[in-house]
Order: sequence, then structure tokens, then C-alpha cells
Amino acid sequence: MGLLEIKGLKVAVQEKEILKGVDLKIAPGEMVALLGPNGHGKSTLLASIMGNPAFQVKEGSIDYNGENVLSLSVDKRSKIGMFLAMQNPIEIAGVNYSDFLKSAMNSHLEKKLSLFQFIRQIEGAYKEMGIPFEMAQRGLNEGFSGGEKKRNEILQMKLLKPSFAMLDEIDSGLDVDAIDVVAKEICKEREAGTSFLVISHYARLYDLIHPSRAVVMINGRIVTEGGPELIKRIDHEGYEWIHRELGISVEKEIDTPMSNTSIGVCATKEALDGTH
Amino acid sequence: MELIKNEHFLREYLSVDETEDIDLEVEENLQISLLIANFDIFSNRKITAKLKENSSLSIAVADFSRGKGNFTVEADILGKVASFEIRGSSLALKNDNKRFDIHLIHKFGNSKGLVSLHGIAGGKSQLTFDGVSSIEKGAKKSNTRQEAKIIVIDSSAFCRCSPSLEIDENDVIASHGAVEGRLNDMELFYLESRGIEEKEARRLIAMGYLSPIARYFPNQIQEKILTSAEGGI
Ligand SMILES: Nc1ncnc2c1ncn2[C@@H]1O[C@H](COP(=O)(O)OP(=O)(O)O)[C@@H](O)[C@H]1O
Ligand SMILES: [Mg+2]
Repeated sequence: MGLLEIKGLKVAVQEKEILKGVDLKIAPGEMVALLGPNGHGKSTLLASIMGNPAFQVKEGSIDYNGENVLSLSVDKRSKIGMFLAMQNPIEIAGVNYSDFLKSAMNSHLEKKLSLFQFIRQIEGAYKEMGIPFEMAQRGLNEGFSGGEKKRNEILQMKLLKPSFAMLDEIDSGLDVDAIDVVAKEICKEREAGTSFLVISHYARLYDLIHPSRAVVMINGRIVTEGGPELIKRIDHEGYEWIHRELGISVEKEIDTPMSNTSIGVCATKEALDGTH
Repeated sequence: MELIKNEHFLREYLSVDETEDIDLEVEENLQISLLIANFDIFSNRKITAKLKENSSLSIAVADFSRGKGNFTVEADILGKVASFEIRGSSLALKNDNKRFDIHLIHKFGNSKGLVSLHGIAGGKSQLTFDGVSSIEKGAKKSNTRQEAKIIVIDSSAFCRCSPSLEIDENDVIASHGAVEGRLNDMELFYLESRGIEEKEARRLIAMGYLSPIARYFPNQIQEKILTSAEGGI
């Protein structure tokens, strides 16, 4: 039995179909890289697995450890071990970060943590993540830089210890040192048994976390998959070859209101060209 | 109203569960802070203030009372380099009908104004933030800001925010923002995705609105503010 099994998943946002029949299986212990040009539905897939109410599941199924995820509330999905580090973590003014962490951690426990246990756990995690402990007294992501938000997403992952973590562009906005810290934490959690589904445009992160498999999403479907060599190929050649070899055209979604990126170019390559 | 701090050019007054009007003259170079907390009954009340040169008045209002009425503030800046601030948090529940009306007039230049109100409306309550900040001609280099934010937590509650600015001078900075809304789905999703149940998520968000006012008050009032906010939500 797979850990996560998605069959024929169709998802719409405001009645526009984004995911057009996604099939994906992830076995326990796997680390799967999810690749694809911008605007093709990668974030939508992760958000739908976690139950973001902005996305409507129209057809298909998502099972986790054999349990139907679609019938579970969002907090239940977290409680059965799922975690999503979001591409753009939201700011919630006035909600104290440590109050939030306490609620989140306690929601996963039978017996609530004592104040002492709680402080000890979070203090250690802040230290390992290289986040100043004072940040625990700030509002939830309030005024955090892009990179600070991302580090804090990983901090939450460390504290909540999910069995399946989805990371949506966790490395964007992070400098090289921070990517190393984040990658180290990912590897540590993986050794402890966590499975992963990871979206990134940068080969650098993948080089550090060694995905066991890569899948490519184009036009709202998983169109091809392979081993780590697939990441290398996309890194070097972009997505054009998929069009040639698989006879799939990479649609230019010009009618898409929210997409502000050019589609059909190789995002990975572009990003690398930009940094090198 | 109790004088709880009296230093050289600094006075701090605390008014807890009182209803009488307050009239303040803030003399030159004096700083006054006025801390108003209501846990009991909401009724009509008026605060009038006149600020002289280089003086400042900051008002903090923590309102967790039940009732109907208008809470009115009229502040006139009557000297240059003076500063007026009011911060308020209000929780309206049941059949409350509360209206906050804040009028600030900048008559002199280099003066500062801030009006910042946060509210939560639940039950069948009505909560209104209204107010006008005006800058008169000649009050150059004045800076005034108004912000108001109310969220409705029950569909039977009603809220309205209509802060406005009247500016008769060009050389000023003025801004305002108003938000009336329901609890934000994306905020709830973020909290719930960490395992937090919907009810607890709503409580955290609501506390995030109401609790920041507490820090302006002395310790024992802070505690009362936090327990009243918790209990109310
Ligand atoms: N909340 C939303 N409202 C409207 N459209 C959305 C929303 N979220 C995503 N979309 C649209 O869905 C498509 C897929 O977006 P997304 O899943 O974010 O792509 P990716 O992560 O692959 O870059 C895009 O066309 C995007 O504009
Ligand atoms: Mg995305």
C-alpha cells in the first residue's frame, strides 16, 4: 500500500479547472520532486492535498495510509501526519508566534505540554534553525522577510514531526547558507522516516536533499516521471523536450488572471542563469 | 479617573468602568496618557481634549462592556508640534450597539495624529467606527493617519467603518484605511493546516485583534483585558 495515493484528481478554482486528472503514488520513505513550469498546477496540487478551501475538488480521490483524505477537515489532515510548507506563508497580525506554536503542538498531543516542556522544545528548534528566539514573541509571520517565513515553516515542521511533508518552493527567498540549514533539516526528518513531496525551481536544493524520484506536471497533469536524472535534464534543457518527445504542448495560459510568469520557458534554467 | 503616574511633564490617568465625560486641557510641553477600560456597561460618553504647543495626548480604550451608546472623542490640536493618538479595541456581542466617533482637528503645523481602532462584532451586535480627521489650512507638515478594522464573527452581527479625512492644506501627510470583513479563510486554513481546530483557530485570530491593546495598561488591568477577550470570544 502506498502512503499517498491520488487518482484522477480534478480541481477547480473559481470554476476554472486547474488540475485535470492527476495520478500520483508515493511510497513510505520516498522523497519525490515535483517539477513543472510556473502556473501549471503544482501549488494547487499541494494545497488540495492539505484541503485549502480556495480549491474545489471536482473528481478523483486522495488516500493517505488507506484513509480517504477528502472527507477529513484540514486540522485532521495535519493530525494524521500531513504537513504543508506554503509557497507564501500568510501573515496573521496580532497572533503571537509562540501561542500559535503551542496550540499547534498541543493539537497533536493527547496530553498538553507543560510550559517548561514547551519552552525547552521550541528553544532548541529555534537554535537549530538559526532563528533568533525573540522572533517567537512576534506576530505570526508579521513583518517577517520572505526568507524568515520560509525558515519558520521548517521550524514548524521540526516541531510537528509530520510523517508526510509537502514543501512548496521552500528555498525561494533563502540565501545559500539558509538553504543549507533547511536542507539539513529536511535530511534529518527524512532519516527519521518522514516522506516528502517537494517543489523547487533550483537544482541546488535537490542536490542537497537527493530526491528518490521526480515527477513533472504540465497543464494540470503528471505527464512523465523518472529518477534523479530527470531533474538534471530539466535543469539543463528545460521543458521543451517534453513537447517534442511526448507530443504534449506546454500551453501558454494567457487567459489566466493570476499567472504573472511567462509559461513555456524553463523556470529552472532561468533561475539558474539568474544566479550564476 | 485616577492619576496613576505623575512625573515632571508626564501624567497617566486610568479610568475603569466609569461613564462620566472627560475634559482635558493638555498644557504646553505636557504628555498625558489616558487609559480607559470598560468591562461593565457601555453608554454615551464624551472625551474632549485641547492640545497646546508641544504637548501630547495618547488614549488607549479597551472596551469589553455590554450596552448601547456613542463613545465620542473630540480632540483639537491648538498649538504646533503637538501629537494626539487614540488606539482602541472593542468587542461587541449579543445586542450591543456601539458607536465610536472620533473627531480630530489639526489647527497647527508639525502636528501628529493617529486614530487606530480594532473591533470584533459577534451575536446580533452592531459596531460602528466613524470619525473625521481634519487638517486646517496653514497646519503645514502635519501628519495624520486613521485606521479601522472590524471583523464580524457571526452572520447576524453588523459592522461599519467609515473613517474619513478632510484636508485643507497641501503640505501634509495623510492616510487612512478601513477594513470590514469576515474571518479570513486563508488565515483559518493556515492555522488549521497545523492541526489547530477551527474553533481554536477563530479564537487565536480574534485574540490577535483584541489583545494588543492590553500592553498599554497596568498589569492587573492587562489580565482583566485578556480574560475578558478570551471569555467573550
Ligand atoms: N486562489 C486562486 N485564484 C485564482 N486562480 C488561482 C488561484 N491559485 C492558483 N490559481 C491559478 O491556477 C493555476 C495554477 O497555479 P499554481 O498551482 O499556483 O501553479 P504552479 O505552482 O505550478 O506555479 C494558475 O493559472 C493560477 O493563476
Ligand atoms: Mg507554485
